Amino acid sequence: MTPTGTEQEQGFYPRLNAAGISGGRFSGMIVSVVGKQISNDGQLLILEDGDGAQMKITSPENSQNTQFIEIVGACAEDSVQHFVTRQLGDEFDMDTYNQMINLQNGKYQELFYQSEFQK
Amino acid sequence: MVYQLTTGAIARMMRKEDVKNPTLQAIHVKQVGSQERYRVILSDGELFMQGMLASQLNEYVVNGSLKENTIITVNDFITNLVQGKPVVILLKMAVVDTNSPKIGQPADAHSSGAANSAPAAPQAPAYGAPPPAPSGGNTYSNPYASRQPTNTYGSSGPVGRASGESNIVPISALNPYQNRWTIKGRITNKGDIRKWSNAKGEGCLFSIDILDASGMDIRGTFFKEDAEKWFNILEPEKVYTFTGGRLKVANPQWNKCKCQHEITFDRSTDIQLVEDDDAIKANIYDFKKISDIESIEPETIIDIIGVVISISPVSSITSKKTGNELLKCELTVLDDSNAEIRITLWGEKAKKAENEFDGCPVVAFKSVKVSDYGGRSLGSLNSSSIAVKPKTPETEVIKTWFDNQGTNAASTRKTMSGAGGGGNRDSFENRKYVSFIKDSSLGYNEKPDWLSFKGTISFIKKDKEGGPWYPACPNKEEPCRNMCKVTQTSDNQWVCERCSKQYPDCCRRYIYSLTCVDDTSCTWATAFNDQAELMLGGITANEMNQYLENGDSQKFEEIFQEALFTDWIFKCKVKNEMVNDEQRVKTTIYGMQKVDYVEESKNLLKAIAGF
Repeated sequence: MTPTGTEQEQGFYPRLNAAGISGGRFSGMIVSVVGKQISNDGQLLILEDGDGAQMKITSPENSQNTQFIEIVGACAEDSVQHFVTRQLGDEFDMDTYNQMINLQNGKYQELFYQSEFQK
Repeated sequence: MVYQLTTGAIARMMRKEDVKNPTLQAIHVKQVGSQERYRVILSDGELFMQGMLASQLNEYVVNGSLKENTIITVNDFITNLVQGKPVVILLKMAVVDTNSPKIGQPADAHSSGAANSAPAAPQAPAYGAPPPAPSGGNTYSNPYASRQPTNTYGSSGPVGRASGESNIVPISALNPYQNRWTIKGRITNKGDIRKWSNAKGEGCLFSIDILDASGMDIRGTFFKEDAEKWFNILEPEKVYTFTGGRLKVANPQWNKCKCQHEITFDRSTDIQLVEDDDAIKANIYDFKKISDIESIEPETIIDIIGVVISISPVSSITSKKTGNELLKCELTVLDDSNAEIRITLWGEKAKKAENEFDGCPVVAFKSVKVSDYGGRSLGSLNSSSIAVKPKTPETEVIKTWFDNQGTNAASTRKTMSGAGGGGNRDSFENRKYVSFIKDSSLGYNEKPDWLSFKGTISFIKKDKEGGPWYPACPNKEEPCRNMCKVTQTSDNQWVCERCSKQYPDCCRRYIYSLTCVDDTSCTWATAFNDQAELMLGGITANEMNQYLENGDSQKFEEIFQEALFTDWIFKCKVKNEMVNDEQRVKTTIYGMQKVDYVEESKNLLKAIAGF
């Protein structure tokens, strides 16, 4: 469910970094975060995004992960609840990815989001 | 109509004699200075001299009736001496024919001493006398004045002048109105003797390029007996003085020399071998590294220098165009970029190759053409020149490299044959898209068009009778190089039409059509062996054939399936061809590179940022 109460489109999920999670813009929606795993104590998994900021993942899986992973889950006020983990390997160009999602969520958001999500 | 010019008129006018209404040709008309005054070079078909148009006659030039090669009748004139030289002032004239071809090959009356050789002529006050004060205030500099030394030899007339070293002019000073000149230069290129035969007759000719100390070069050609006389005497790379010959405007289509004129040497030509002059450069080279050739467009003319590491035997080919037999030889050249390439030599150059390049010498090849035959290769032209161990610094560099590392570096060596596989990497900015092919009507010019685009393979036409390949000759050596078609005989042997040998098996090479699609459009394209192997993960056509013969058609299908919907950067040649009486634009893949998503993303982000 989106913050405004409409159904989230099937297969569509915003790609976020730490800045995208905080502020509640996408709160309640299924989102994707990609980052480098910093720590995982079974309760909380920390990912570092392309800006170097940290993202909190709750209820993580307790399995071995590659250095870079993608977590798809439910976005909360300042964390993401884990649903699915995708292994992305040990080499990933975080900088290029970060630039891309910043464009997606910023300058070119019209191309990616319906009007209600546009800032 | 061919007009009769009044021959002998110029000689008499030079001597300040009276001539009644001579018909002359104005072989050159030019405005001088900033005022409206016109200089005219007057010819009687045998000799020419300087003239000036009296200002009352300016109208003829202004309205276009008097121009280059116009035939005129001079009704009133006077001859003045200007700085010791006779100049005709035209006072009254009539135009006979404005447009006319140049009549005869007039010589400069001033330098041919016409004034002195006239029979029973009155005294010629012009020569030997101190230059009188300029008459009528008509002082002007005369660029047509010949550059021979004037009074430095005392009273000797033009005929008795000493020639030789002091008379050398720079090539840039040569012009068709100056007959006595000597240039000194190095022969930087000596072409082969060529025979011609047309309606007017037949003969032989050869050309040389001469480079002088000023850095300018000029082409000179010898015909018939002169060609036979000088061909065996003149040697490339040596320095000579050249005296005598006709100058004419060069044809830029064939003549790539810097000078706008070219020389036709004749019977009066004298050529002397002189000591080498360091001021005259050996040759102006712009060497490219062999490893860079894969990114040079075919048809480009370049220079290279390298070690000749192999020479093929001379073979003979019948030219499709002329039906003549041509001698051909292929060299493999290696340079210090540790890349090698084949270069084809023709005719005389091919004949002498085995002897000239024996022993792996360093050789410079100037003005050779890049071809996409066999990936990348080079072809020599008639204007190419070859220098063994040339006197340039690169020679030593390459020799040292070869002696120290050359032979050992064979394992890492790159070969330019099959360089088409690596492709001709167009930069991201230069890339186009599939719809560009149709939108820009590519392929309709004389020469093929090339483009790069990013696309996805959407379909491969692999289901051809016998397999998506053709049987090729297993002979790796010349002239087949694994590429010539072979045919199967009744007892399952393979016969090659090129090398005439029989083989138990053939070397299958892929050839098939596929469709490439991007977000603008879709196109058919043809893939040859090198690209197909890349596409199919390195599986050779012979291996694929094995799967089929073993009944494993599933593996065959799988391998093609894997290639579908993969992203590549294609380098293609587009050309329209006749196919079954129809003109069709064909796209052929010459290179393909897998899309590197990281690099591509970076380029895309940059492009977006610049939007």
